[in-house]
Amino acid sequence: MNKFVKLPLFLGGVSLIFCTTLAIVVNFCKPQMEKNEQKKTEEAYASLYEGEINILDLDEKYLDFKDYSQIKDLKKIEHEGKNSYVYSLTTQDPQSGTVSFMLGIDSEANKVDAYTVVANNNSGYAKQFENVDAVKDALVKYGDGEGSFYRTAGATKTENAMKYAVNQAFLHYRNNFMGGNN
Amino acid sequence: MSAAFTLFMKALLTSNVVFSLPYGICSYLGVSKSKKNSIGMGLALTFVTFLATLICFFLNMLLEQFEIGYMSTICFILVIASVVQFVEMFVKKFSPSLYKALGIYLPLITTNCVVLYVVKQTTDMSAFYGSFNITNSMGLLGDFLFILIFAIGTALGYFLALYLFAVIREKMDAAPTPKGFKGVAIGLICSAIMAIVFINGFAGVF
Amino acid sequence: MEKQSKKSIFINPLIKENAILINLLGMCPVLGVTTSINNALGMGVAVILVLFCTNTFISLIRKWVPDEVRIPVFIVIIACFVTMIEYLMKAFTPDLASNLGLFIPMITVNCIILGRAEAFASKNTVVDSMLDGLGTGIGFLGSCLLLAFFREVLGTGGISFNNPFTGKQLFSFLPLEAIKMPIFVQTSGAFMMFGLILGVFFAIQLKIEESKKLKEKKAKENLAKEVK
Repeated sequence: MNKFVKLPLFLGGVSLIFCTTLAIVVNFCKPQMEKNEQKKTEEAYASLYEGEINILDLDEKYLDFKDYSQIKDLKKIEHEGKNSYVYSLTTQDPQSGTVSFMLGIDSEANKVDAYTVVANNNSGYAKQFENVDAVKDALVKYGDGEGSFYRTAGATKTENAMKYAVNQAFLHYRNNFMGGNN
Repeated sequence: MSAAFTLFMKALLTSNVVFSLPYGICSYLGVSKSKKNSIGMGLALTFVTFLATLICFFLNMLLEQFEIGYMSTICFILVIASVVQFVEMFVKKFSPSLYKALGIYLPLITTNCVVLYVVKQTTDMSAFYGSFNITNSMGLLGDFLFILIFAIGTALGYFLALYLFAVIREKMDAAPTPKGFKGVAIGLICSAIMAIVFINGFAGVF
Repeated sequence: MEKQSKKSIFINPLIKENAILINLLGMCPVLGVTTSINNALGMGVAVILVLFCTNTFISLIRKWVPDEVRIPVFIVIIACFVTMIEYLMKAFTPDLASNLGLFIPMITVNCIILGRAEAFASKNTVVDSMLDGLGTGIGFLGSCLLLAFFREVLGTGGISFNNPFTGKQLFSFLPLEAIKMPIFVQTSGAFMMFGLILGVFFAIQLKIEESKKLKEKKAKENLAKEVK
């Protein structure tokens, strides 16, 4: 056979065989991957509050996160008669690793009432944010009275990234749920 | 375009591909034995990365249209191999002396992790934007420009690290190092200090 | 060329020709992955699987591969296997996969795999290639574990181990937590630790070679004395 026909034919044949096998394996894995995602979010929401929770979806207009690069999702959670807005945030800092966490803001007291880390990628620093109380103690009160918000203190790379993410959540909350723009 | 400038400086210094998320260590340790090789390798790598990112950006869009995103690794590597082959032919034709100087290092770029790292970012643009804290307000054109700037910045960052390491290694080879540490081992310890400079020293500047 | 015995094919890459410590190949993932023993173990197992599969298949088709398309064919096979393992890991060991991140697709451009395929699998029988793949992979795993052990013990004060399939912590033994040095979990610590390990390793090698040379010299002198 002509050389210029044989070579691409061989390469094409090998590629076809192996890529079909790959396609089969990937489609085999896909349902399990989706299950993993679902399980993670459900576990995360369940770990935020004690007792029964009710996850409510929000109106589309609140879910426009074009200007908030760290906010991934927002749900309204009803628990024991109170309402909280739970933000799913992801800090993506190449040096210290990714931390995905959820921040719950009590809609009446405007304070952070829940915090949990969903995924912690390889970072020794981010371990300090696993404990809810540690974050509450690290949040420094900014301002007084009606418009007071909590912000994270600290200056390490991960803490800065977390601060950036938390502030974005607060900004979104303030712009959407605090009764008009402040 | 301050976002573009920040991205470039971050890719070059703060998130230097060799020192903060270690990729490309193989050739970093192998090529830095001489300064001339480092310069050749760095320039060739920049060129290859730029071309490969250009092609793979559109290739990725095509793959996602057909919902076969998992083929991205295979296709990207084939693209990179072809780009390297093409660059090799180009250099051979137009500058045989440069070709002789680069020698074995041009085909080595195919297995360089830096190129694959850069082109892999095209598959997950949201993660890319998140890690560099960029907000893209220009849609597809913004994607395209940002990824190209990132590609050049990263490749030049690798070039910078490689050249600095080559210079240091030249001096270290003449210095009285303990037996067994000569060559690669002491070079790695120097790289540790360089890594501290690049990660912690440049943090917060950009 | 002498035919190597099956045992030596398997044992050689473990210590004598260890891919990372002696040949200094395929070091890209080593620094990024060895932040904890979990990750190193996961990466090592992935590399063993990939090496085993690619060596086997490349050895199977070695008689029919035309010489000019050799490298692209190898690349396609390696990339397919790596992507398969990547998706299997993402599905069944999601925490490990997200910790390793981009390092799993990077296995494709790891010099070890292409090197073994080129140098060994394309020229030897299937069984030999399987053994070689296993041996090289286990050697790689060994050196990764060594580096990860030191980095984790010095960086976090001890060892903690998670079940890769469910992410739950199996045990965590942190005796030195009070004097931990987090820099070893970062890249600069990786460079430092790797440099120290290599340096000590080479120094030991030099010592062994020196004592060997000394023995040979003594043997020669004894022989010369006897002849006299």
